[in-house]
This record gives sequence, structure tokens and C-alpha cells, in this order.
Amino acid sequence: MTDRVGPGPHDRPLWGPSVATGPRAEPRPLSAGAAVEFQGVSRWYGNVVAVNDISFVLSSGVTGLLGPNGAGKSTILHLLAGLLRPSDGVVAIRGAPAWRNPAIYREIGLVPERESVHPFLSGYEFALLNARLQALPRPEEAARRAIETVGLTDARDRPVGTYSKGMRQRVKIAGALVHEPAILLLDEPFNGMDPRQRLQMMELFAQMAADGRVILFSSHILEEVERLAQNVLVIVSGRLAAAGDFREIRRLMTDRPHTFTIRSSDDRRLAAALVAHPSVFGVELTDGRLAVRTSDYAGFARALPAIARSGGLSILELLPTDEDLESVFGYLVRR
Amino acid sequence: MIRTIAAVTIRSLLSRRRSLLLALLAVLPIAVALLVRLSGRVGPGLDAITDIVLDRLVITTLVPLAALVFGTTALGAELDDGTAVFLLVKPIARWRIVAAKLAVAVTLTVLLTAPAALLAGTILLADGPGMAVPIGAAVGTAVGAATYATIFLALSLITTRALPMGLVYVLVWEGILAGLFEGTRVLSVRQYALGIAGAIGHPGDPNPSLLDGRTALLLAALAVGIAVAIAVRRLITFEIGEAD
Repeated sequence: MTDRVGPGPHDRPLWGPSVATGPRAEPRPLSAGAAVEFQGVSRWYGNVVAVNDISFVLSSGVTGLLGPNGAGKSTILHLLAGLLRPSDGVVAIRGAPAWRNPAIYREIGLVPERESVHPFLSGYEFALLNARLQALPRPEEAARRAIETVGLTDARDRPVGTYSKGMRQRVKIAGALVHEPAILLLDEPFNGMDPRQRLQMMELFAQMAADGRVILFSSHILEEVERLAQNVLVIVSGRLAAAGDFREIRRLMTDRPHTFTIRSSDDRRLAAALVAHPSVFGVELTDGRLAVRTSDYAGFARALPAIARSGGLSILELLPTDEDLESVFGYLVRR
Repeated sequence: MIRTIAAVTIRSLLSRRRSLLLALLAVLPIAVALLVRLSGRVGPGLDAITDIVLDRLVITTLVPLAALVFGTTALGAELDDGTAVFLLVKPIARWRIVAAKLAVAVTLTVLLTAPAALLAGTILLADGPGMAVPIGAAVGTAVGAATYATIFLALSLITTRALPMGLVYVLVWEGILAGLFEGTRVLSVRQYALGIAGAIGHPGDPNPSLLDGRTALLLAALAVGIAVAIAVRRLITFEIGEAD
């Protein structure tokens, strides 16, 4: 079994955003053996570009689709699920086009982000409905197994309208799993789940990946992706900002330059002391606040108390200013 | 497959409060007919009331309203609220989905309206020469119901505002404009229903202000065919709205 995620046949570096390389070449034949292929795909709505020239291929394993809200993650999943037509490029499932091709749904299970289950159906009825629509030979058995897999056996006969948010997420997963698809696409699947449910689902997906399935799930929460995905696609503003092994991307995120604002007993003296330290590459005094930029997060954290103490200064406030996910993603894009 | 989709669609439609309101509306012509009979009215007055009940109340009001609710809710509303997504990601040809949804919308609309026309007509004309008029009204109502439901289902795949647009069509076009100009009758579902009802109800006495029965049936079939083709094409190329 090989876990693989990376840029597709379209020319693109392993790390970093999409790079224009002159006139576009005609789409090449699809990669043999790739379960999922995204080849130079763009999707726009009028003047708004939702997905911008993205390429990647996926084989078995868990891949996280990471990015802030509005980045284009759902658009990518919907393109893969054949629910959106690519404005440009090729989206293929096992070599067959995803758009206008209902046959791909024997291979795919989709868990949409929106509430998508009739509230009057029980969990079991919903799973059974999905099994029948997949024309499975023993739909009752498949539905019972799917409900059991997501841990809803005790609540299987209750209407979905009475379920908690986490249970509704799980029943959607049951509906997507009922035909045991080779490819599972999940849009923010852990929304509304409590930590125990989240862990159970993560174990389930990890097991499915170990069985050779392709799991692609979107999230805007770094920790979720960190816990589950071996591979990651980072999407920012419709572009592929980074792709590959999660630990490598994590290292990039940690090692990026950080900015802190500091309030001290004497900002001017502290600035003079800090600028001499090798971990600091910029200081700025504005509006009574000292802004410090460092390229070595850990080194700076260790050095600051010592510098303050040796100068007889008190640190009154220390705030990181770019720790939010948007800043992290923004850095990856600029890089 | 079509039966599975139809079964869940029926449950979905009947679980909505609108369906209950429609059922109450369907009882209205029957209740009016009963009241008229109990009042002992006969002669030209009764004919005028029969026209009002079968034409104005059933064919002009009940039929398009029922078709509007069932036609726009069967598929369009499910596409809007996301509950149709599980259906779209199945290895099923999209025309089958349209066929199942259409079968439900048409059946429910016909079942709600045609019996109301038949019963109301039978009660009002119990002392009449026969059952031709009530049967004609019921058949005309059924054809009108099927045509309206198909058109409104197709409309719900073209726009997310199918319900208000359908209402405007019924009130402005069917209610006002199509009655003003003779040429516009061929574009009015109400006129198809009235033409068929008249042809069956009064076979030897054609009403010159109505379409003849054969033309009405042909035009209704044409409208249904066009609407089905549009609906299938729209669903094949349907793209999901973006929540991201």
C-alpha cells in the first residue's frame, strides 16, 4: 500500500502555491492508478475564482484538506463528487470524469457539510435508503452494519430530527459508508462531535485508510488534521498553498517568522537590547507599543526573560499577533 | 429504484404543513356544494354556482395551488435545503430521479384535486341528466393538475424562487391576461383543463369560448413534454450551491 499525495501532472513544485508557467498545455492523459485526480482545475463563478489552477493526485490513505473558511475546500470536494463542473482542467475518479458520470458514485461516498438528512427518517431508514439507492444485494444488512460502524445502534430507530449535531454528522457518515466506497470525501466531518465521538470517527477513518481506501476530509482546524492525516493539502484563497507530508508542513508553520507586541517598563531600552539578539530581525516602536519580529520562536522565548532581567526591565504584556490560522496560511502562500 | 425515491418523497411532502392546508382547501368545494344542495337552490342559479365551484374554486384556484406546492417541493425545495444531495450522489441516471419526483408530484396533485371536482360536481348536479359534467370536470382537473405539477417541477429546477414565480404566473397570467385575449388560450393550462372538461361534459354542445377537447389535450401533452425535457436537462447539469 502506498500513501501518496502530491501535485498532479500539471507542472508545480511540491511546496508552495500554484505558479504560472506560461501558456497552459493541453491536459495530459490521466495518471494510471491514481484513485483521485485533479489536473489543472479551476472553478469560477462570474468574476469570482473559487478554485484556481489546482493539481493533485490521491491514492490510499488519509489526506486532510486544510484551509480557512471560504478557502475553496467545499468547492474542491464538490468538484470531486461530480456536483460541480470544473471551469477548466480535469477531475477524474479512477480515470473516469467526475462530472455528469453517475457511475463514479459506486466508488465514492460523500459526507456534505450541510444538514442533508430528512428529519422524519430514522437513522436506520436513512442508511437503508442509501443502501437501496446503491442497489446493494442485501440492503438491510448493509444498513445495519453502517449504523453499527458509526455507533448509532442504540438510536437507530429514532427520527434524525431528534438527533444531536454530532449524531446527525454520524448518520450522514453511515449513509456515505453503506456501500463501502473506495473513496470517502468528507466536508468538515467532525463539526458538532464531542471529543469521544471525534476520536471514534478518527479511528474509523484511520482503519479504513489502512484497509486501502482513500479518505479526503476538509477542516479548518489544524489539530484535527494533525491527528488524522498523514498528508495534507493546504488551500488558501482557492490556491494550493502546500501539499505533502503533514509533519513537513507543520515544521514550516512553526519555523515561520513570528511577531509579538510587548509592553514593558521601558520599551525603548528593551528595543535596543532585543535588536542585538540573533533571533530578532526587526523591532518597531509605534503608538507606545514595541513590535518584535523573530525568526526563531523558541530561541526568542528563552532569551526574552534573560534580556529583560539583565536590563532591569519588567515585561508587562507579551502578545503574539499572527498566531491565527489566517496568518499561518497567509505565510504559506507568500512563501 | 424509482419506487424507493417516490416513497421517501411522499413522506417528505406529506410531512409538511402546507400539505395539510391544501387538504383543507380541497374540502372547500365539496363543503360549498353540500351547503348549496342543503339550501335547495335549483335552476340557472345552480348552474352559475356549479361554474363558480368547478371552474373558479377547483380548476382556477385549487389545482394550480396544489400543483405549485407539490411540484416545487418534490425536488426543487430538496435541492435548495440540501436533502437531495444524498440522492444525487448515487449511481442513478438523473432522468430516473426526475421521473420518480414527477410521479409523486403529479399523483398527489391529481389525487387531491380530481376527486374534489368529481364529488362537488356530483353533489351539485345530483338532479341533473347524468354524470358527464362531474366526470368531465374531474378529467379536466386531472389533466390540468398533471400539467401544472410538471411545469412547476421544471420551474423549481430553473429558479430557487419557483413558488413566488409560480404564484405570479397563476394570478397574473392565468387569472387575468389569458382570459382577456383569445389567442393566449393556447398558452393557458386552465384553458386546457376547461376545454377537456367542456368536451366531456357537453359532447354535443361545444362552447366556442373554450378550446376543443382534442386541441386542449394535445397542448397539455406538449407542455408536459417540454417541461419534462427541461427538468431532466436541468437536473443532469445541476450544480450544487456553495456553502464554503
